[in-house]
Amino acid sequence: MKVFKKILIWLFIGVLNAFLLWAIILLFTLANYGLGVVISVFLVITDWAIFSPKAYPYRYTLPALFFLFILTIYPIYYTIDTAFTNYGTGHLFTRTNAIDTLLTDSSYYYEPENPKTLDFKVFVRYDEQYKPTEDFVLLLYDQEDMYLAEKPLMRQLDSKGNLIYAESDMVKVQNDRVVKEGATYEIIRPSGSVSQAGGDSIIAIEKNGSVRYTYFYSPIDSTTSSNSSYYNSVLRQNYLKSLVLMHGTTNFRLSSSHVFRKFSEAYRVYDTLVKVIIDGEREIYKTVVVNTLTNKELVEKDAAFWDYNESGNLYRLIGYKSYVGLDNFSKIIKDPRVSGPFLKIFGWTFLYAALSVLFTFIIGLAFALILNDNRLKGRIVYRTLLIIPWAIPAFISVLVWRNGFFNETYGIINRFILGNIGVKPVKWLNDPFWAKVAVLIVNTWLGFPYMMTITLGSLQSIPEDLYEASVIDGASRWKQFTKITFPLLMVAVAPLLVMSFAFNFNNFTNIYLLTGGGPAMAGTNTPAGSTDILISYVYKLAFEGSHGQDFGFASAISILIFGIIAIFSYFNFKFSGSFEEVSR
Amino acid sequence: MAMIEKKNYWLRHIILIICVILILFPLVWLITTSIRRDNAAFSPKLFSSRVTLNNYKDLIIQKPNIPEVVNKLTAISSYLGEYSDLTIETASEKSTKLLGDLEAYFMATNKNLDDIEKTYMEIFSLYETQYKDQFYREMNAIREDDHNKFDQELKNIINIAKELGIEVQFSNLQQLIKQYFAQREKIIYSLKISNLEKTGDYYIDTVNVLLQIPLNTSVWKVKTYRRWISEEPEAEIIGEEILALGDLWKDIENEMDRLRKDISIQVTSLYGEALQKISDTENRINTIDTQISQILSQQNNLKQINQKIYTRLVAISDIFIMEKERVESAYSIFKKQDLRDIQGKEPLLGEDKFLYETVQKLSIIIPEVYNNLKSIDEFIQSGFVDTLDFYSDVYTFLNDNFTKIYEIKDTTAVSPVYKAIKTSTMKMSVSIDELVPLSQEYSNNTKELASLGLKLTSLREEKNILEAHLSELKKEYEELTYNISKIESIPKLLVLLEASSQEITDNFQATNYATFMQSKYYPYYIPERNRYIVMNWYNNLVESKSKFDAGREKLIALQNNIQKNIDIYKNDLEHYLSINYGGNVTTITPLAEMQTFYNTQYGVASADISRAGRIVSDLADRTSYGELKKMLRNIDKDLYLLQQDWSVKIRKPFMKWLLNSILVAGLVAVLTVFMTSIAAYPFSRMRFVGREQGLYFLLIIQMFPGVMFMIAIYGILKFMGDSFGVLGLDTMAGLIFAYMGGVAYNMWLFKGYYDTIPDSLEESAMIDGATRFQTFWRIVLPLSLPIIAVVLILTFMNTFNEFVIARIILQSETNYTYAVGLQTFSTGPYETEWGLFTAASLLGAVPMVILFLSMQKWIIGGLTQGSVKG
Repeated sequence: MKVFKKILIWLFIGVLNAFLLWAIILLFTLANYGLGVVISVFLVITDWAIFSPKAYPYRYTLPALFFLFILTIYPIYYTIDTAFTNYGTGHLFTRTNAIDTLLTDSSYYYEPENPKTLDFKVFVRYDEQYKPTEDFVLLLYDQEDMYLAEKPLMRQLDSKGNLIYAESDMVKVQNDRVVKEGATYEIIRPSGSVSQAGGDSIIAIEKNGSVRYTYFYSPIDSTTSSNSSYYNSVLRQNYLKSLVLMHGTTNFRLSSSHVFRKFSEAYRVYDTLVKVIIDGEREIYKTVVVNTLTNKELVEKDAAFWDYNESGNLYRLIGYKSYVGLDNFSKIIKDPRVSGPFLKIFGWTFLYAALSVLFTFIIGLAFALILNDNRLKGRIVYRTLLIIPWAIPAFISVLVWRNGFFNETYGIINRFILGNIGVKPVKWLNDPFWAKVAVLIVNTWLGFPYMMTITLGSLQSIPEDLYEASVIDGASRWKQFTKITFPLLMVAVAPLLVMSFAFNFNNFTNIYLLTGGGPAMAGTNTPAGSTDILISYVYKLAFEGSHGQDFGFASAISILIFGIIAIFSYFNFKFSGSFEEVSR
Repeated sequence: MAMIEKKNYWLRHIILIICVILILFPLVWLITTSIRRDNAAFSPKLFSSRVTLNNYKDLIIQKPNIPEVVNKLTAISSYLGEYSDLTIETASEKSTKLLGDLEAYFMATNKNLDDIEKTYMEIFSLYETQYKDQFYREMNAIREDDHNKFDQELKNIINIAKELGIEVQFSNLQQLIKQYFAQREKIIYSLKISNLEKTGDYYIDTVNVLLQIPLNTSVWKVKTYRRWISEEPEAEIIGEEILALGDLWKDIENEMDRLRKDISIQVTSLYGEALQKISDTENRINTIDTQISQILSQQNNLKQINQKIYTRLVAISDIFIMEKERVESAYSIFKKQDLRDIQGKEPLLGEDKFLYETVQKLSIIIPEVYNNLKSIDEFIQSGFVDTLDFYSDVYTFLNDNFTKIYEIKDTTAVSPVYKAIKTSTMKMSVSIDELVPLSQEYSNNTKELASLGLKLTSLREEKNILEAHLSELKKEYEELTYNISKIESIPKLLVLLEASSQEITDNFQATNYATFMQSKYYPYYIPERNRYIVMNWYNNLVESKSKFDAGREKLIALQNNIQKNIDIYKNDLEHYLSINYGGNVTTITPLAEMQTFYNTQYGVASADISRAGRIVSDLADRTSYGELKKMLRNIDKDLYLLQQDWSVKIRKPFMKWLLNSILVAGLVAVLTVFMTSIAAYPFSRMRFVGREQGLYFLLIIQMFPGVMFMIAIYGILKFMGDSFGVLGLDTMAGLIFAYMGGVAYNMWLFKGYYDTIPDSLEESAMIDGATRFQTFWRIVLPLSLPIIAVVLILTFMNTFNEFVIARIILQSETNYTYAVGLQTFSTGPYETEWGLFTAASLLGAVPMVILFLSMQKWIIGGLTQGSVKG
């Protein structure tokens, strides 16, 4: 039993190591060095923790460590790394991917002058229930010849399973027979009909005398049009769309100039070439892309490939991700269309966080003072009811506020409350000022229960005798509050206020769901809005498609947020004594 | 002292209750809206008494209703989408079941329709037998109230008139009106006792016309009366009486006019001057307004012309300015020449002659243009004025001395400059002819514009003064004009007074009375909106019933049409199903017909039914008799249920979203607890290198919420999905993976709890030979069940409530979590679907609120320890 257990453990360690090593190798070949290094470090720590008795305590932390490494440490590296790149719309691929696209994408194929074209018929094998399967052969023909092509074995798919590239050989049919790598295909016609090119009468093709492919579809044969949906949604989508048929040195593709009803000769426009560049004494091998029609090398500048058009001007083909140094940061300072909105957002973020803390604290404190009396009946009930805005998930409350209350046409604030006192409808979401007011109202509503709860806790820990002593000294209520309650309260609550500030600084949900950061600012080329805070601005830069994505710039701003939060955290830990807690 | 304390508490309770109501109002709104039957976003009412749980049913059960069943049948018959893998047998099974559902719906619809019909009938019979008298009593009470009000109003106005010194002699008019109403009464009575066909259109029309005020018989005479007597000759006697009544009304109106004139004569003699002043001022302001607008259009016109001229002039001036330098240097050389002793000679032909002429022309034109433009700012700015000034010197000089210069033009000193001046002058001469008229016009226009501007300012000033004056005057005489206009409408008040003294005895009188009172005939009486509802009650009920009848008829016709096709389809179900089997696309006509019938006919039927429902629900709200109210409510409810079965509904995979959320949150919670409970152990029990640093690290890390890493997390998952095909974007696994980053805070919680468990237990176990891990697993962990539960629930809640990461990672609607899905309920076309939205919100909010309140102690405890969860 013990031996078995031991074997099991060793097996587990072995598998783990093998898996991680495999992952590391794969990551390095995929050129994801950041994650590769992180996993390597993790592997070293793991093996050290497992094999060194001194590292025994670390064994407990390994699973947690794994996720911390990948989801905390690596993201920090990733964010910093991305901040120095142009990663974003137009620069989404790596250079290798961009070259791949140039080589395989169907828009980069050309048909020569007077190309040879072939009509085609699809023959499909049916299953037992007479449903068509994806097993098929193609019969291609022109006036003179007939060719046969098997279902492509070599297929390249992208991550979503869409076909990028497929290829298959095309063999000439002679005497209604084709022999190909051991398989024999025989063309079957009804008896009495004559063999002829085009093969109008062919009803099936038999493979090795046993597998039967039945005539299924031809784009020029209207009698098969009832099968067109299967052809278009399955066969063409999964095989024929990007299929290259090779016959000697000639290549055929489904031709767009024939509305995809014929195969036509087609060749790639771009090809790669390895060039030797002599840099001093070293020889550098560099892959360059060449236009095979003009025999000109593509120009690479601004992290993109450029080709020459007929008039000799450069035009952009495809961009790729590359390092741009401090561009993203200098943009914040130098580009007036970026810096103006950025400074506004920066200022509003602080104002928003500060006002949120202020309002929630004042209201929370007021309620706490009212409720902080043991003789008040039903105080638990009141407290519970007042906590509810905090208990409802924020995204629900914000959506309710946005949809039911602040909606400019239907919302009940404009319709029932302002309508009844005769005030004109307020543009809650489309006026920069009122949108800010709306955001603050909602955030105050969401946040005051938290403040009430923590101040209530702190108030109860203030000793009664202080008040008794002050009463003897003749202090008024107000004096008691300003001289005893408030100072003692602040000692306990100040760090929490700082924390709350930091939280609101990043309070994405409220802003995003309520106003979407809007209304949009004028005169900017970034998706900046009047109520955007930094984090929602980052989100919009990175993920809101309408303006194009700009991960690089978004990451640069994220780094700024990191810095600001770090400063606040430092002060907070200093105030709250969390550092001492660590060394306990 | 005790008293004061007590009072104080009352105040506190009141304040607290008000605050709680205000603060929880969104929640109240959420709950009430989620159970509303009407469309809250368009309703004028904040709350509604028409309650239903249908919104919840639509979210949770999503039982396909009639249009959906029809669509499903079609989808099955063509093996589309989710049905693409069905065999003929299963397809037939499914279709049979759906057809059965459809027929069940039809049965229910028929039963529902019958029930509604029955209830309507009951209401009618109840009204006739029991409630009619009560209704009329109610109506007459209102009428009497009106009468007293009008009486009072009349007295007030007469008093005011007296105060103002205006005498209103209305007794004559009052007499006439009384007479009118008495006669009307008589006619109605004779109509009632006559043998005329009382349900005929002519009769009804006549009664309605008769009850209208003001009475206008001319249309009635042509459209109704003539035809009526041809059908029922005995109507003639009454008809003539009605026409006589029409004449009487004309007399009344004449008398009214007379009275009004009388009043206005008195007013003019008493207050004419003051009122004249106001109207004069108003007239004056109007004139000024027209003048201002005339000037503005003139200005505009001139500005446009000038703009055109300006561009021309600028083009010309560019040539002049460009040549200036050359001319300048030439000029300075010319001036240096000693010309005194030279005998001039005139050029006779060719270029030089032309040059001479041009110079002569220029010497005249340029000073003129200079004069025109010298005070115009645009050209001073552009330097054109200076240039012209300079040129006028040059060309005067050249003109004066041209013959002499011409004489010496071939000397070495002069030759180049002569040539230069020749080319420059020729260049400028091209556009020279335009220059004078253009500059003339431009300068004239500019002057005109300036004078217009002056005029405009003075006019505006005058207008402001007048307006101020007018508002003062108006304020002064506001009350007066108001009172006078009230006095002037005494005649109309008299009609109201008399009309309200006529007892209401039948439905015609009731509805016409209500219409008249709401018609603002007497402009100072504006009744509240619902005052006369009881008068229209019966009529509304009849209208609702007739709408229902129409809708019912259409619905049954539609149902029959569909049923016919069902029968055809059902008979040969298997055959129809095999037609499209195997990738064929043929339209199955019976099914297509069903869809067409539904699409073309249901909308019309639904419009009638909705209208009937709306009227009934309004009636129910305003009926004070419990029995009737309940029945009306029942009709309303049945009509609503009927529409629920028939109308196209909005469907979202809401339960899938909830399940996704629960699945993700549950798994994340379990995995997190597993990982962190183990990982926190050494930090509590063992001393090792890096322990302190590790704790610092955790403390700092938990300050950075996951939102900040959103780009990185997106990047990682995109990379994983693209390269490995696992944990990619838009997958549940990817989302769970992304959520696993929040371990730091929980490790702190565990560590804190382990610290409170005494070491001695473990030590004794270790003495007994247990390994370190065994003691942890067997002793510490079981003792930590409370914190395990806490972390489990807190992590569950936090994950359930997370929005941003899920929003980024999940892309297809079926993969959404609850948080992301809920957002789609509040945007775009769903913005006004408040019923579904609020119900969906509550379904998520209520369990979370309960969890939160039960975990209060821990959440608050964690917070006050100084850590905030993002």
